[in-house]
Amino acid sequence: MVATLTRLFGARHVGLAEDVVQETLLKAMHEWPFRGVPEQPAAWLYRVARNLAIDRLRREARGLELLKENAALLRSEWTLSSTVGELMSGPAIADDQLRMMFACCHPLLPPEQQVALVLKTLCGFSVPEIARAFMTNEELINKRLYRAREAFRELGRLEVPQGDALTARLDAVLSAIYLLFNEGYHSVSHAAFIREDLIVEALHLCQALLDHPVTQRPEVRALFALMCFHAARTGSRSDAEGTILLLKEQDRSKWDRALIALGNAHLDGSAEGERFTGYHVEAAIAAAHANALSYAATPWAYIVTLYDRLLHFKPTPLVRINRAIAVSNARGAEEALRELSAVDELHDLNLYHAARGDLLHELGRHAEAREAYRIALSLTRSPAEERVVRRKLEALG
Amino acid sequence: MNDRTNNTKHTIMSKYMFLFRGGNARFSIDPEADPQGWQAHMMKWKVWMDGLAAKGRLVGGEPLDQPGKVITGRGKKVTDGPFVEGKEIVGGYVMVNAGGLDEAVELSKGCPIFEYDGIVEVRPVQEMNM
Repeated sequence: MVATLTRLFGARHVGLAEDVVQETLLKAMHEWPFRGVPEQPAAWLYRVARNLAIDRLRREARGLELLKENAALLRSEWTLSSTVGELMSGPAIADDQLRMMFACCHPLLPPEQQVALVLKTLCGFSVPEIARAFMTNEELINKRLYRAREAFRELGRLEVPQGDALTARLDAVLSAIYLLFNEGYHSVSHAAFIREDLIVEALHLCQALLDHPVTQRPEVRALFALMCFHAARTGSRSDAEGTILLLKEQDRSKWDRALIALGNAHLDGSAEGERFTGYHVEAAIAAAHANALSYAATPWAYIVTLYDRLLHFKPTPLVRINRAIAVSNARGAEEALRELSAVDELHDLNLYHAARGDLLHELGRHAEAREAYRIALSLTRSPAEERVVRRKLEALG
Repeated sequence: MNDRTNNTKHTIMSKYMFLFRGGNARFSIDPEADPQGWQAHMMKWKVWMDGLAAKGRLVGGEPLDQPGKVITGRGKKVTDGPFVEGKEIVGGYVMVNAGGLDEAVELSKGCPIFEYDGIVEVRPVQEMNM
């Protein structure tokens, strides 16, 4: 709704758009408890927002610097209400959401500002909620949002870029969505290990891209498939006490088959077109896991080749560690350990030491395994991950 | 969006006023009883004025409500008004930029006021020099 109203007032007046939304929600809070929730709550909210927007324009249009293409129409009673009405109709709303998503991911803004802005303007998160999602204080989030809004003011207008610029910006949009998803999927910063609200928002945003002809692209489908496969496992990733369960320990009957099927369909669809991205490879890896009947029946050798390809797109420590785990299952712990130790840049990572501990344990080198787990413990910041490593230490006796 | 500003390049533009008389659609469509019909009618105004705006010709304009007051006698006498009847009541105005009276007349075509037998009076804004 903020997206639509920003389109109406112009990017300069995001604040005004947020005011109108705030006022709309206040009205709902006052009226719904007494009169009951209307039959179509969304339609009710849009109607109220439309009328409030018309009122504001009536009172303030002369003082506002409006967008050139609709300024004259918003300043005349002949056309004010129908212009607002048209801008707030169904198809226009979908376009606005997309435009806002692209504006939020403008290259002027650093990624953490992009995500904060997406959460605020598109997902309707409050500042305290965003602060909680990223385990920072509200002041910092306010600062990020303020800077982002300043940048918006410079832009003046929200536009979906065309051609090559679209591809470049779409990449930024996808990485913001993936960042949001990952923050939900393994929240490093949060007491609750999995934040389902963030996962759901990330899936919604990606779905909105898929629904629009301009952004129905193979890489978008690949990311959507990837998130489906991961999200399908959400329920099995921790036990009743909230302890992380490893892939090996997860109850595969708890995996969401419908989501996996959806992921498979989108992964198939993502193969058309010329662009082959890291999301394609990651989705293929996640698919191999999601479709395997058991840990032992997983096609490990194939997964190793996929990790080799992924390293081209994302030569990150995490990818190397995950590849090593696949290597150990495909060709034995010895070779995995050799490959892992050869990479120096990993040595500061708790996950590296935890993975090394696992491999050493498997090879029966218990003393060294214990030492590796202890280093991992000293490096980890996440309470949930700490519990996993402690459990492994205990298993060693 | 360039076409909204560029047309003014070659001809000298002057302001013209469209004065609307009669043709009040409210006598034919009740916005309360037939909101969709009313919406469709107002959409026609939007389309017409959006066309003017797209050509860079729309200056502004408003519909006018009734009743009002009429002040006469050197500002001393105030009566309810307007005192003209039906077809002659001024129901609103629109200001446009045009290259001449003929072009202004051309721009007035497509105005939804004609659908309800309204009259458009096109008048140039007089340039007052000192």
